[in-house]
Amino acid sequence: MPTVLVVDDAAFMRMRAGKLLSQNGYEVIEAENGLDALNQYTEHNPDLVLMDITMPVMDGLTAVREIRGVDPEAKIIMVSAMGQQAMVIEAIKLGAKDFIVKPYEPDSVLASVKKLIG
Amino acid sequence: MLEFPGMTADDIKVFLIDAEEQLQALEDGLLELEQVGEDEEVIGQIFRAAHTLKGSSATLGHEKMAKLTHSMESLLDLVRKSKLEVGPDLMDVLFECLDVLRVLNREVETGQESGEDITVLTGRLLDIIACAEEETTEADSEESCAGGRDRGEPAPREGDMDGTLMHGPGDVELAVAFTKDCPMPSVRAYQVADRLSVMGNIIYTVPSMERIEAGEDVAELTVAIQWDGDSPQPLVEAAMAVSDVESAVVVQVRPTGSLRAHSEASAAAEVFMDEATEKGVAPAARGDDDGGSEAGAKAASGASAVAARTTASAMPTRATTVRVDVARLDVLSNLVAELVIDRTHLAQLESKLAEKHGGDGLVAELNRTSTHIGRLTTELQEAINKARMFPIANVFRRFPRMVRDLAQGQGKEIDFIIEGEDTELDRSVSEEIGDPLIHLIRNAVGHGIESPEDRVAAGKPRKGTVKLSAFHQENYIVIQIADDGRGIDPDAIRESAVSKGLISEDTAARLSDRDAVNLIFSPGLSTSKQVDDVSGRGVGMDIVRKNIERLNGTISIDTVMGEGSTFTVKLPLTLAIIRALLVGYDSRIYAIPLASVMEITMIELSDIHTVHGSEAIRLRGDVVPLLWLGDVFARDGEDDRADQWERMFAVITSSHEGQVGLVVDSLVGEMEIVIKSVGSFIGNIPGVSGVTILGDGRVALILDVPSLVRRVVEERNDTRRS
Repeated sequence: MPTVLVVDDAAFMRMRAGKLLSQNGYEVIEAENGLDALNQYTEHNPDLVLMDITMPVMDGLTAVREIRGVDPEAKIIMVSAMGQQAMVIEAIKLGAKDFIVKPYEPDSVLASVKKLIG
Repeated sequence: MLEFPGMTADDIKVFLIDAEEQLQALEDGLLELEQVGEDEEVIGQIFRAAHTLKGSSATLGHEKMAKLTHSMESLLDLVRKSKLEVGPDLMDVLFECLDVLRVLNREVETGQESGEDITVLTGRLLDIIACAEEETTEADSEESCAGGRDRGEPAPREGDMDGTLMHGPGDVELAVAFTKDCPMPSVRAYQVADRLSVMGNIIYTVPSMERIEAGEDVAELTVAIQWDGDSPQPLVEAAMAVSDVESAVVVQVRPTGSLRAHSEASAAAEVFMDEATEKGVAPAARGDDDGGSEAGAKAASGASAVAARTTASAMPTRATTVRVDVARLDVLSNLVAELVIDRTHLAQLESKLAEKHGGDGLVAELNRTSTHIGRLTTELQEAINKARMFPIANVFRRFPRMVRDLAQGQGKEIDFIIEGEDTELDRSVSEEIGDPLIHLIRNAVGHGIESPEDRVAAGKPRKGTVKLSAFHQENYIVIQIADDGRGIDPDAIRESAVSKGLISEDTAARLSDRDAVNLIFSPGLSTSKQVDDVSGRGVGMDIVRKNIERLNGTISIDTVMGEGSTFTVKLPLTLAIIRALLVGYDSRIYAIPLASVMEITMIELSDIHTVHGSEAIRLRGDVVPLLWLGDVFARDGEDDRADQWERMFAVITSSHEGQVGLVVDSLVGEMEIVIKSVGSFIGNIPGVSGVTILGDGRVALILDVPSLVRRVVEERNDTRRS
């Protein structure tokens, strides 16, 4: 079962995404900030990361850079909010593969995930 | 009714917990921002809180909350970028936002629309934003405004291919369209260009990469690329692979080098190329700088590895916690309470058995086991009580904001200090203590602290201090509210009490200063004297005291004229279990909370005197009125006083209103009892605060000492008047 690491500082958002993914046959692990995500990534080596951008301790952009530093093949989808175009572009420059925008449709999340890891 | 389609009750619960955290972070941040001024970290905290709320509320489907947080976020972003200065006006707007957010959050909690209109507030935010942006962009406004919608040359359509379309290597122009509801089309455009850039040199894009990166709306993207392949199909496929791309069409293919866009577009393309090289994505067509970019990539990844190590070592240690529904904790508490009762019963049985069959080995074994179970029960009880405890910070944290608003409204300068916010107390107590504390703090700010001018005139620092502190003392939590204000004038209180007809002039003159000050807890005095814009909630000090006493707590005042007042509130750590003195009257058992028992004295009928028509005893010179439990809880045809007793006990109990000796015929002992509410079907019994089940299964009433004392005081006053 492919594993997805869901990174968000809001437990609510983690729960929503986690529920959606696990109902659709993915194993879900969670992290609540970028640093946590980096640690989880190195420990569990998930197939995909859903990464929030604005988070305490370490933000999503730094986390993308760090994770890509550890694993240049890392597949990361940014989860952004309206108005964060510039940051999403920054993330893509850093190697993020795709992005979705909050509030998201379940279908669009699944479509993005499927596109990257089937 | 407010409904959130697709959200379960659990979803909403988690949302609320989250939102509450964010709102608190927002409030803490705002208070700190106001204190310290512009601080990157604090602004970051506020920004993140608003941002997280925006994401969650939008997902939940709470449009108003999402809109408001979105506007806040935009404004905070300007603050963060130092394009907007933090001033009192800005702080006020932000605090107002916080208040409205709380109202909106309550909507989620209750499921009821509040009717709160956010348009005015968001309008104000947007005005501030527009104003700040105008100022900062004035210098280059020409360009940014005029160039805003310029998309360069209209892209040639598929129709005007004029025979130049060809296969084989050449310059390919591609038109990419995005779906109508595509979020952030500019990012999608960036993604398309990014992918294409690794396939060939990008000659230009319309709109320019600069504009795309600036987040400009892109409905359609045109990319001209130098292509070495035979068919341009791979380019189309690469573009289509990006999400939300509706179509990608080859517009024209021209011989290599023939597509040279107008200067703006090509300049932009060059910028884009530079960046592509910088980040190590080597354009395939450019063999000559491969080496350089590889080295760059290595250097970059080396740097990030170092960064990873340093941040990892700075990882904060986070407490691992689990959120548990209070209802579950209540179930556990109840179970343990039952165990406590059985433990007592077991101990009684065991001692009876030991009396009967002293030397029996089985009894000794039973003794060991029951002692062990007893100890385990105690530990379990303590552990569960601890689990129910949480830091009083949860209660205290709403006060800084309140003090700020009050002080500002009254033109006072106040340093608000909180100490001991880690002190833990039971949930049930913390839920009840908030309102009394609010009142005490309002009083300290409104009545205690003087205006800055008065303070200076009195030789005090301009800024007054209100200190809220909490600490543990035995099985109690002590909360103090201390101000360095004007103090309470006992003479003013005496005067006021006399003029309100509460006491006679004689009595007033005889009262010690301390007793006079304590009069502020009398019903007639506080409400009438203190209703003003500050404490005008219709809650007087008498209500404060009543609420605290209902929790088996006490409140006292220390005040020095001109130096300030300190209110000390003492509360039991938990409401569920108390220590009580068990007494007997006419073969029934009653429990008296130990906190209100002063002493016990054995009396004889001859010790009882009649003073002003009611019975009393003399106790070291003081006259203590008596109350026979039989008089209070007489059953029909059972009102005899048991006058045949020759000796009995007077349990001297006290509340703020005075002392009363409760007459009982026997003392049973002191023990921990579990308070059970009397139950709604019996109703409120005067003089009884609850019941408890004893070890042997009997039910004992728990006496409500303050109400018994009041009963005696009122009776005495009635006889005096008549």
